[in-house]
Amino acid sequence: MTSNSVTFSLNGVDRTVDVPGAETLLDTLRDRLNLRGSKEGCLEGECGACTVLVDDRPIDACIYPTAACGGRRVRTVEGLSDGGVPSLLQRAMVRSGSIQCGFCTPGFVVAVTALLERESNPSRADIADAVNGNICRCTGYAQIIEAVQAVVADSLAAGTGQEVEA
Amino acid sequence: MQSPVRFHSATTFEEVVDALDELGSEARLIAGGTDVMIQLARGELSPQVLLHIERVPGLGTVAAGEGGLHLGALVTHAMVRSDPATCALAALADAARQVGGWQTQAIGTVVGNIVNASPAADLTPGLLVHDAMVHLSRRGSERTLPLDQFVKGRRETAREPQELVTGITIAPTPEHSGEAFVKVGRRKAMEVSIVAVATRLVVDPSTGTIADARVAVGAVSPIPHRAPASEQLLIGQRPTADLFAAAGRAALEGADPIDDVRASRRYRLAVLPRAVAQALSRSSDHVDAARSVA
Amino acid sequence: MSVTIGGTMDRTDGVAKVTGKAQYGVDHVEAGMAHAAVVRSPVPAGRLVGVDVGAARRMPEVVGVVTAADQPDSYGGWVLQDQRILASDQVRYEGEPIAIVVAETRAAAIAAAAAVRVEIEEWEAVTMAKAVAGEGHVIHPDWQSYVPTFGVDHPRWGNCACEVRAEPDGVDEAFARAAHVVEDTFTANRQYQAYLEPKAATASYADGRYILHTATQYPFNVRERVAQLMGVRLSDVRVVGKTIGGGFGAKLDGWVEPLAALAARVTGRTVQVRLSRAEDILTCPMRENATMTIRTALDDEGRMIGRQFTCEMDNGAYSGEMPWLASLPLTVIGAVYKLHGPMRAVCRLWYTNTPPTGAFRGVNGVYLYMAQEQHMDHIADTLGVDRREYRLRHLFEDGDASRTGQVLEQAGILRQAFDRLEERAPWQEILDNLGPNQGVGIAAAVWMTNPLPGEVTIKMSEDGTASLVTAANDNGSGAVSMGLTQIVASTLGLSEGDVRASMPDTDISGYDGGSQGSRTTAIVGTAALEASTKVREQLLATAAGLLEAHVDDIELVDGQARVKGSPSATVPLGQVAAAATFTGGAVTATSSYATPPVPFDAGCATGALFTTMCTPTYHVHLAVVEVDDVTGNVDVVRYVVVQDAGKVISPVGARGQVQGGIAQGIGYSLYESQRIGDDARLVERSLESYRLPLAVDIPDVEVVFLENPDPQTGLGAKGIGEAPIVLSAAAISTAVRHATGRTFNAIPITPEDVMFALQEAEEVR
Repeated sequence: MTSNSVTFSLNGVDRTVDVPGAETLLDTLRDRLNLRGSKEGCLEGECGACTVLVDDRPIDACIYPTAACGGRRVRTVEGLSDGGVPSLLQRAMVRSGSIQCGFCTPGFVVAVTALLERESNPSRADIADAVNGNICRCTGYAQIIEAVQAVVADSLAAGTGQEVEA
Repeated sequence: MQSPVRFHSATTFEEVVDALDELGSEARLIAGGTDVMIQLARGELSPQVLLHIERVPGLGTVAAGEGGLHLGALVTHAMVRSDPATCALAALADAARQVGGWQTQAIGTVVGNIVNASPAADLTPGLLVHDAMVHLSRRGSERTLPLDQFVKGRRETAREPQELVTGITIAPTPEHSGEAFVKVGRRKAMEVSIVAVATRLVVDPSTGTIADARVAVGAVSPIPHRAPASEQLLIGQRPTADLFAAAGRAALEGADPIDDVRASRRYRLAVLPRAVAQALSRSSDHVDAARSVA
Repeated sequence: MSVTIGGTMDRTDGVAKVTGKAQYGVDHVEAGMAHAAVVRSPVPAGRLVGVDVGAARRMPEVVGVVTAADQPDSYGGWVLQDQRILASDQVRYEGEPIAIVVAETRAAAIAAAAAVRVEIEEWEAVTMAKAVAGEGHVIHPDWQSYVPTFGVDHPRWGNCACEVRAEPDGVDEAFARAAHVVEDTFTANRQYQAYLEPKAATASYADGRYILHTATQYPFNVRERVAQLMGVRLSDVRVVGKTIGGGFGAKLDGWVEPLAALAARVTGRTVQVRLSRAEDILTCPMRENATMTIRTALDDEGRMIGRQFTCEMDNGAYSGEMPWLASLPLTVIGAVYKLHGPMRAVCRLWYTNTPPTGAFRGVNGVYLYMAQEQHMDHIADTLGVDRREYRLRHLFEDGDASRTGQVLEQAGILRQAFDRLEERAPWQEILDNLGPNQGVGIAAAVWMTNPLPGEVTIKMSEDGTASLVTAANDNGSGAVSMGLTQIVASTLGLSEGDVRASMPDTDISGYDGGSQGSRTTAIVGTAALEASTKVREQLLATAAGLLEAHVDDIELVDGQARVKGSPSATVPLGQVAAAATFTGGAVTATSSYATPPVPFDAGCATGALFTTMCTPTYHVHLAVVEVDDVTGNVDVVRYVVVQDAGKVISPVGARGQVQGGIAQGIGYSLYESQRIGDDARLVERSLESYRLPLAVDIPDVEVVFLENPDPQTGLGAKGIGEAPIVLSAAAISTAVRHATGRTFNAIPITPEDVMFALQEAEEVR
């Protein structure tokens, strides 16, 4: 018996999969569950394109075993918008030029969401530090960081604190 | 074809030690898996069982107690960065801050970093500076080893296949001390250390001289190690730039770095004395800062 | 709200990308699709003795195994037809495809590929150093039989894949009468494009045609490559684009698509080839490594009166686009600053047992300008003149000509750029305020806009929205999702959401030259402006009837046609489009555009395939760096770009091109080593050792756009995308030189280089 039956919450819905012991969460999401928003960029935790949240923590799904996810809450980029309607963060990223080819974008959206869930007023340095594990080859990062700053400024102004990404 | 691996997610301590007792080296312990999964994918490991311990209760806390500060086996780099007790220890917290990105820090553990026994393990120098002790358990017994006896070589530790590292304890930090961690890498983040240095100085406030000095270096030999020649040079002296430079040069004793894709031996040897001097200078500044606050 | 030229708008693919819904090449799925794994050469050079696929065929879920015996007896290549799909008699680089295993799952294919036994009699590999020295075996024994794709051959022999020579009279005389001679030698590493989406392609074969779904930058080029290599007509191949996860030049040619096509043909299945990151690095057509020598004769007034330039470039094992690029040094070296005398130049492209090299944003411009600008600093220092002052004294003016005889009518923009830079970042003030271990560099360039043709069809829907149908594609730059969309929307009075751009499809759209050379917004934009203007005229004519007004009095605003000055006299564009459609037929127009040829001196050199810079642009960059004297690391603390844009269409996108280009340039200059060992193998083989800059490594770039409209393009726009990276190594290397007082002759400038230089300096002291 080398496969594991694993049940976890995926974007709010319980899913059960039968996976080999070392299968990565990224393969499970993309190939078994057909959620292809999380991207395979490097397969060794260097680029962050596969970043997802497991119990609110950002992890590289390409090096995390699905079998460790039993009973946990997994959120992917698909779960961070409301049925495809972009969140405030996502909208700010579109507006500010955070997106070029977009292949790294899901990973950035997830990593920044994790940041904003734990820190309501991150500095520029905090933001840059929070995305150290995410490579963007197109934008040179400035417009990504500005999008996050814009969301933070808007949410502080609106007094909505950490609920910006809901 | 790669032989399939079984994944067992343990929920109790007993379950882990029983499984280890039964499987020994056929089991590979896995917590956040940030090292294990990469090694598995590269075919560097082929265990029968991945023994997952992230759910085991009681291993995930930072707790002050007799003998010092205890870090459980599941304490992550992110926790070391944020916990007030470890935050104050720059040699550790700054190292934790520079282990990979958030994705690694969120689930990668300090104990995992030690057990993986990479010559470039970022946390090891800081733990050496703090006289870390490593606690191991197996069914029916436990033992504790100083960290410098635990890490035996590149990817080699004193852990028996039946043992679980349950945590580490670092000794209480003396008064009037200051510490620092310096990591050398090409980028400002996401680097496997080319050279890593942790230092701690204790300065006698009455004489202004160095009462105790700790210098630990990583990535310049198969095992991160203390640099006794540097330490001896420092003790009893007044902290000056020239002294730190001399202590930096003394750290070359025992350094035997390799040439690899990340950096040449020549570069590592060039940078080591400078990095040690910089860490000492920062440690000294931290002593001063602590004194001025007090 | 209607979109305006120069106004901000949301890129139309943004929401799909930010919510994870965009479909990239790697996301493509078809019913009945099988997966391929490629068996690759483990060695850089050798005779292929045998390939045993028996065990692999018997592995679970294997559909079939394809070897060289299954491929057509045909060759292909962008410039020179020297490639086949699979290696047959010999292997020429580590990673070269030898066989393709097709299985029901990717994992099964990878497992079976590992079971293929390859026997190779390994030979000593030829590196560029060996090739230049005339050592080693001839990598292509049949080189003489290779056919040039464009019909015109160029000088080449043995391991020299292309030689370009300019030998004007008077060079020796100039050096003989020189008051000073300044000489520098430089080397440049390869640079990996490192787009985040590894290459992938999906192919099927039915009814005599190949259909490919692939995230390519240049669908028509992929069509040609697959057709050549499979030995079929161009029209027997249909290429359909997918969202591109970055390319930067590496996805212009067909590298994975022919593998998928061949596997589909042999197995009868739809086959997807997806490279792992490791495979992608190993086989990517990177920016080539090169060595250069530049030697300049100066008269007693400090004028440059003669020059010699040599450049040796690494072609890798197959040519791809490279012979085209071998002549670019002629248009760069000796431009920007006046050379009052002749230049002798020899540029050679060498076959080696390394992966084929190719285009990367800014191509060889990055190292050519690095060499020219460091050399300028060297000259200024030799003469004891301020570096900026020396440049200003010798700057090109309107009407000065490049070494290929191209007259640069607007070269005076260079002085304008220096002036604007001075306003933004006063030179003396910067010099006076540099901190310890800091230095400043300044560099100038002329660059270009790729002239290849493009076509746009605009179709009005009866609901008043417009379809933008083109094979121009958005490699991420926003050239389609912003640039072309913005041009069409502003012409038709629409919001960006009411212009829907198609994905490229070679069956549907006219020829397009691909997303390369900064061309799309400027060149395809000219076609888009013309096509949408034609559609606008049809709409205006119909609206004039509906509104009972003169056509000249109608305007299109906010999705409506209205009578100027009478806000109540309006009709929705949908009603106009429907009325026009049902009375005169669909409202649609197609236009195409290509930049007219630029005159040059055909006698300037032999072997030159690339002789002019079309739609030239002018740029000045300034970088301030700080050297860490503990580690030798270099930090870029300030970076200012003054860029000639012609006309900025999309300011958010334009800025993104500059910021992103400089980030890649900082990577090239300081972080990204891609070394080749003496054994011809790549040294850096993962994204752990091949260090791409991170957010913490990149400053916010200060950008000043100059708007001097191009006289030919529709809106005066010029290419934007490539120019930023072209000067980054020049600006950064001169700044490091200033900070350390030492010349760094190799790019990237690594912490090791800097540390050893610091050590030497200390020893001297």
